[in-house]
Amino acid sequence: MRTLRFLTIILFLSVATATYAQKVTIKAVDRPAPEVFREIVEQTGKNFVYSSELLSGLTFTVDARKKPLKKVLDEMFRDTDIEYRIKGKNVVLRRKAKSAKKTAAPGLDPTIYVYNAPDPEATVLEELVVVSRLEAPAVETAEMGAKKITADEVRSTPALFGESDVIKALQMQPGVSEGTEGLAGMHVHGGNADENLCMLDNVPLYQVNHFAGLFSAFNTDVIRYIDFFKTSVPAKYDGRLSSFMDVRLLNGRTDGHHGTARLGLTSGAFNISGPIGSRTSYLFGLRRSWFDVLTIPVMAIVNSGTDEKTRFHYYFMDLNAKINHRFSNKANGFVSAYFGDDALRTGSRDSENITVGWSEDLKYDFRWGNLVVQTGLNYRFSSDLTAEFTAAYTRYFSSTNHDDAITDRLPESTTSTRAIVRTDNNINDWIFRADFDRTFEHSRMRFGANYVRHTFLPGHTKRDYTFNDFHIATADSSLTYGANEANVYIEDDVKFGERLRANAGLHASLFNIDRKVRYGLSPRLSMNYRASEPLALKAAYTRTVQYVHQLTETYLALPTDQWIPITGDFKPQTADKIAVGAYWQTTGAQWGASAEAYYKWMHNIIDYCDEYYLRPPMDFWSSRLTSGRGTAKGIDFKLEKLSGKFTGHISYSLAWADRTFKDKNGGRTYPARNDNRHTINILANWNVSHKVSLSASWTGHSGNRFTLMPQMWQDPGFGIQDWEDEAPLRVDVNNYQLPFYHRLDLACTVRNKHGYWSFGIYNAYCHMNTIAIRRDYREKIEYSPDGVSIEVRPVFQKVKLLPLIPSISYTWQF
Amino acid sequence: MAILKHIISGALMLVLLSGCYEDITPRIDVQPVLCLNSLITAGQPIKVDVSHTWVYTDVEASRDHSVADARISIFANGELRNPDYIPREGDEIRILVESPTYGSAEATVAVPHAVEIASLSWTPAVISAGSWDSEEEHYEMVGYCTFNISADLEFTDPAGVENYYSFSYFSTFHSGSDENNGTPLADFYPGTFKFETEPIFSEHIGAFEAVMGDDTYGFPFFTDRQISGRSYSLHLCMADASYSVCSPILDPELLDCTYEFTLHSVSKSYYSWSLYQWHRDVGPLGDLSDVGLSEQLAGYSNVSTGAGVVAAQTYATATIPLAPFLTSTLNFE
Repeated sequence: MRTLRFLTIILFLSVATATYAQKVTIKAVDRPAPEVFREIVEQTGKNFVYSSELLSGLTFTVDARKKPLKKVLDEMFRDTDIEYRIKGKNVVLRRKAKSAKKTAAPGLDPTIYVYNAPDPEATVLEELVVVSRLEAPAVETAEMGAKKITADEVRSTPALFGESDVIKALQMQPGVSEGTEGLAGMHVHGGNADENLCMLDNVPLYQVNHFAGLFSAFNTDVIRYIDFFKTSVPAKYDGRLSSFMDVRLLNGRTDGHHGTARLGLTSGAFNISGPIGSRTSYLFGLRRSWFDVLTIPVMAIVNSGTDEKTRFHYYFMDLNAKINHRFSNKANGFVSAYFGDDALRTGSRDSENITVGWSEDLKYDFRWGNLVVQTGLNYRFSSDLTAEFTAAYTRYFSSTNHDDAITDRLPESTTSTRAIVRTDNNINDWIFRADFDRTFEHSRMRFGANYVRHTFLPGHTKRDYTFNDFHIATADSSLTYGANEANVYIEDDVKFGERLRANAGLHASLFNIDRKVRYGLSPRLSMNYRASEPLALKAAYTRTVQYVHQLTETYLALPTDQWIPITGDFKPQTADKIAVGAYWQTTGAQWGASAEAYYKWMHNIIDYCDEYYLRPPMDFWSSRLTSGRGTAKGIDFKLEKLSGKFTGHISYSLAWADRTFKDKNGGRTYPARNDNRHTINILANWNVSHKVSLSASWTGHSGNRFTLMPQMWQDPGFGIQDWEDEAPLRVDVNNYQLPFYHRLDLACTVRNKHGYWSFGIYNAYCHMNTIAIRRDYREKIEYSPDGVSIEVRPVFQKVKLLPLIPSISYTWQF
Repeated sequence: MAILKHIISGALMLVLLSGCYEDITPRIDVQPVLCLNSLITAGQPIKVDVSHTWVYTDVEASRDHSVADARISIFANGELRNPDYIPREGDEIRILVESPTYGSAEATVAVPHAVEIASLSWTPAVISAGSWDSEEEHYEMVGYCTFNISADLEFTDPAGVENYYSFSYFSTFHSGSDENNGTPLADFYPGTFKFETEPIFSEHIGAFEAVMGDDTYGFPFFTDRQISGRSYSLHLCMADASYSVCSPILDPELLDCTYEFTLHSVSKSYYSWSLYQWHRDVGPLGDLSDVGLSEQLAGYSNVSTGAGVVAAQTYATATIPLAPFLTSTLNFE
């Protein structure tokens, strides 16, 4: 009780301090101006807006302790040709006298920098740099469950192998759970992993994982921020049931050529950006794993002294390239490309020196990834109307090749057998979209339309078999599906007086496949009632529609997973979600707290039916699927410290999620795999000094649901096999809850003149969590004078994964 | 170096997989139920195997899961029959088992009609053949050969019903024996059956299984999904078969080698149980579910309690006599 009281006092003292924290404490000696601004932003919540050319090489020497912001700024700019003006929440900088006209921001309004604007960097960054928190205070907006996460926040979240990871950073948000430990699965508010739309600069990506989901496909070194929506969703987005994530890339820098080079335990990255002339800039980023380099000496040792040579070669890579061009003050264009690729080659080969006997050359080749190419134009028609036009091509590809060549050399003859199995799984999308943003006096309207031409090749298998002179080649019926998708949307963010704000929108979509048109109407409404300055009460209704879904037989992200469009008698998947919440945030946004309750109904959702694997895969895929419904409900609490040297959050989620399918679990409702009743996430970042920062994250949640079959029955045998076997008795799906999951991750960043070191520890107290229960046998061997007795006892065992894993990387900045 | 290899392999496994296991006693209430197994063959008496389920960790129950108080009733086409009833093709057999201790269980299965083998054509291909002379004794029959056999087994799938099949082969030969020491005079090795030469044997293998390297070997079941209602020839291949003989007298019986190819018509329950077994023991789902990376595989059952399989089959057989081929190849004419 005393502890609780103590904590309460500390909490209130902190809040009180934060409320009056418009005073600044800063000490800098010849530090670059942007760094100093960033620190002031953290302490005051003010944004800095200035021309990118304004600060060229500018450094500050300042020593202030609890001084008013104005005094600190006066001191900083005293001997410069820059003047500043504090305008609301912005500190606008401009050059004194002659350059004033050029740097003034036409129509600049702080609201430009709230959610969902056409990328502010893309529209005005060529002239303006904004040093701000990016995220509008939650109490001001109508959205619920929205989060804008900067690349710095992602990098400061401890991660497995030290690979900063967008999706794993999002897993720390309340209402988001991870699926299987270590893997980049994401389950939002009781949804499935394929119900999250992941976009790169507004273009959907189908494959967002590397290495079976161990790493996500986003190179955090070239990311600017991520928009994430999990509760209410802007009308612009649709096509998935649970969440929407738009990863926004950096634009090329205009103040010189800068970059980073990073080398970590599992991958390295090189990123560079800079100007090309006065109007154009470029960005290039390459991340590549180097497991294959590691495995070369290992394989050399493994293969030494043996006739069988084992192959193992794996890498993943992400390549981002972007060129921005400023045509005029009104028009900015860009061309960008992303290529993400996983390649695994493995197998074994017997020595070619064998003259008599049996030898085998076995190869497995897997390759899968995503290609995105897009071009866009941002155009400002007037100070209150902007538009973004985009054309994009996105391709998901996955191919696997299994090649097994066996030669049997006898003295009199040679027999050769070769079996090749190749599978292909592709999606090609052509996307054309136009998005508009119109600002009125008391409202902001966004509207637009897009057209997508999909081509699906969901799993095509070819077999080629040769036995001496005999040859046979077969192929599955190659079903390519073309689909046309069209979307229009409109939403208006309106203020009604000082206290009420609403965001109302409608997204309409058509999906045409198999000469059958399916359509969806997705109304959206979210409202904010500002009960007082720091407190907002919100409510929202969101409907989402999904036309494609992913078929996966495992909890891993594998190249054999298939994205399938809605066909046949299946209807589009839909979800309706209502939510209410309360948000509290201190002035200056130092502290924030929120509570969000939601209830979600999912309709026409699709899953494999019971014993789907007993239906031959050459059957049409729909024969293996079943349609049903699901519900999810819960409440998310979050307390966060948003700025200052110490930032972070504590969140708690209480949640339920279930599923009901006609042909699964006998039609009975069962808990979803991620029906995690209680989830607690704690994330803490501490900027100890300019050189050192520490982070820690702790996550704990009720264990995943699991189907545990405790009873066995006598397998019939039917004379096919000689031994007696047993089979598990079917039980209700997900009848068992695995033990409570918890894990602490730590990270430390140490900066020096040229870059920074990153150290990390995954699962710091080495609590290996249970991911499954398996059946096995335990042998008990007893030695006695009479001999040795062996007793074999059947046991259930927890399967536990991932112990303590340290990591280290160095990033060189130039 | 070998030790180093194992150390590195072990370290890699430790780092990459780093999993471990810990015994647990899960608390789940269970109720044992009846298990019912039977493979009904047209023309043969019905044998029913009754047992009860047991908790996996219950060692005693796993050793003895018999049911002492079971009462079995067999119905054919809706009528109660005697225990010695001989089922016929097309019969619908229902087996009901009742036990005061474990409750009741029942299952129904239709005995499939046999599908006739319309033709069986075959072609031998000699890999090597030869003879040798003995300096000590004169042998009338001496020779060896290795060969492949390609065969086409044609049948017509009955239209209008779902049919499930299984293929099996059997070889016979007459070895004879030496009058003096009793050693065999002839030897016949039927070779390796090449499942890969017949695409229908791989219809159960999808992209996921194919890339995981699971071949068709050892799974002779298939459906009529690709051949429904029409004639089809199974392309069968026996590779690296061999025959050798060394007999002092010319005995045509020693050349009496045959392949017996059998086409079974099986019930859906038989097919499903076999495919479940394949996934559990051979396919990747079994391994992945074992470590919790995919959904768990429950034993396939068509019994009301979920325990046991009642299946049915009929079959047709065709024979390949190798004697003429061996006679000409080894010049015993």
